[in-house]
Amino acid sequence: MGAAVEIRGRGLVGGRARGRLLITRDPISFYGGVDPETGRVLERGHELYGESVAGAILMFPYGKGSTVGSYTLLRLAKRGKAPAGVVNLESEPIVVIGCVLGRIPLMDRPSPNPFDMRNELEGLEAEISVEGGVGVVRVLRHV
Amino acid sequence: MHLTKEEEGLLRGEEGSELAEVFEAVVKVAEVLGATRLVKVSHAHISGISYRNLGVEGVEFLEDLASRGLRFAVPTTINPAGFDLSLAWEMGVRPWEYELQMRALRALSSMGAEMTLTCTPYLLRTPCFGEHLAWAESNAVLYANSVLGARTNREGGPLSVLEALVGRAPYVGLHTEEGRRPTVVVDASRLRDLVDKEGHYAALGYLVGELVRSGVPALRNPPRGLRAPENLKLFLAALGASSSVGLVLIEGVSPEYEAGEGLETLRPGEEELRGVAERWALDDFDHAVLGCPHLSPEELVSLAQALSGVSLKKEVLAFTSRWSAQRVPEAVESLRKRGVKVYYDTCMVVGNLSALGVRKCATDSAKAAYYLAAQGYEVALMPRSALLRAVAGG
Repeated sequence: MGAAVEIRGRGLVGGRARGRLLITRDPISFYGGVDPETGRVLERGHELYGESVAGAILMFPYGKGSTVGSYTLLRLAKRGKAPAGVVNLESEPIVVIGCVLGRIPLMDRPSPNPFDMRNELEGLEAEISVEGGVGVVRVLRHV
Repeated sequence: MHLTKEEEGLLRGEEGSELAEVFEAVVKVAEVLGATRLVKVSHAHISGISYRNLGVEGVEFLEDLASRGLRFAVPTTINPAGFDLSLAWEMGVRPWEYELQMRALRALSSMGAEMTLTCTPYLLRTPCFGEHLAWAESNAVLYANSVLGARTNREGGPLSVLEALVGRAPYVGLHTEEGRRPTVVVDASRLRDLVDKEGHYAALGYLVGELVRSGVPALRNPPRGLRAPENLKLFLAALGASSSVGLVLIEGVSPEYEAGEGLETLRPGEEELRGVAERWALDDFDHAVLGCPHLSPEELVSLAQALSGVSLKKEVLAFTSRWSAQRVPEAVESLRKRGVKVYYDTCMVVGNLSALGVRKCATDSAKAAYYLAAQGYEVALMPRSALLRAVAGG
């Protein structure tokens, strides 16, 4: 049994939440790419196609597509179907605005890089906490 | 990130906690973009306000802001809606669609937006050289930056709402002096004659966008006809659709043009232009759609002249703003007499063409061709002159 993994990064939207880790190397377009009612990924060919982002600590490199995607994150949040937290390699305005409006904890520039540890981390229970410009994801079970 | 005393007060809630929350969101975005400060803007233009773009979530977002008593801090105009407000039933709009759109417009109006419903805010009020704007519609951003020397990034729909409320934008990218220097050169000398001869201004814009993708291109040796406003509009809209470019420095047009000595220089040829011009092609079409970007008063007049005395072989749909139409009522009247359907407040991209019976359509706008093809329509791209010849029966 190894040590518990801790991933630190730049904190962008404050908050604290728990959820399972959902990790993809594909960028996400929230407008058109994610069902605003259920949180299911609709984009064909996407690594997460058919999976739901609801309640997960969602890790994806960055957002893409229409800027209206911010509203989708807000709508997911209002219906309780938003990710519990978001971790990007590098956040861009669509995701930042969506997380601010939906009050979803957000961090980027994670270290160590969780996208390199996808196989070990995927599906594990974790806690995200963002405060004062610093974001931390703690994996609650030992890897 | 440096904030002024006034801005720090805003962030602390001196103007109310509702505005502080919006202000914080703009500051967060500014940090992510690497801005060192904010810049005051004099005019905001909000895109994505059609119910088809907003969805229920977007409408609820606008209503939420309005219900908190927030007001736009600067003059604010808005992009086209999902239908012509005075012709909703004729356009086949269903009651739930009408209601959703009107909820969005009521919220925007109560926050102080002018109901311009056009993608050409630069026609209604021409920004000055050096003026900072928070505009979200890509063709308008390209026009303001490239033709007028005003300064705005492609701010995006939701961000432009927040920027309008705080009257400020992140000082980064095209707002800054450094961000407006060319990063790559496109020399059009090998294809300028073909563009002028056949009128492929939209295809040229799309090609430049595909070649450079992002950054600030300098366009050297542009076709002569590109200076005409109607060609410039089609060129810039197409460039915005195929790239993330927000400023192109055009020789002989852009006040900030510089030759970009020493930069990588691309020299596309006629075959590459043909590749774009022929990408959207059809043997036949049922509708011709014009007005992406919205037709100006001058374009309405020249369209009316071109179609006077002809009987139309195809349905023609023309999209413009209420403002432009009111400048030239005789031209609009003459077009309608000829059988042209003239619509205000909306356009082919954010409206619902299928409800108007459109299946296969031809357009002179590469931006429209791109977005209509993505919506499942069969589309042909034709230079305006060729399109008008095709619809005129003589």
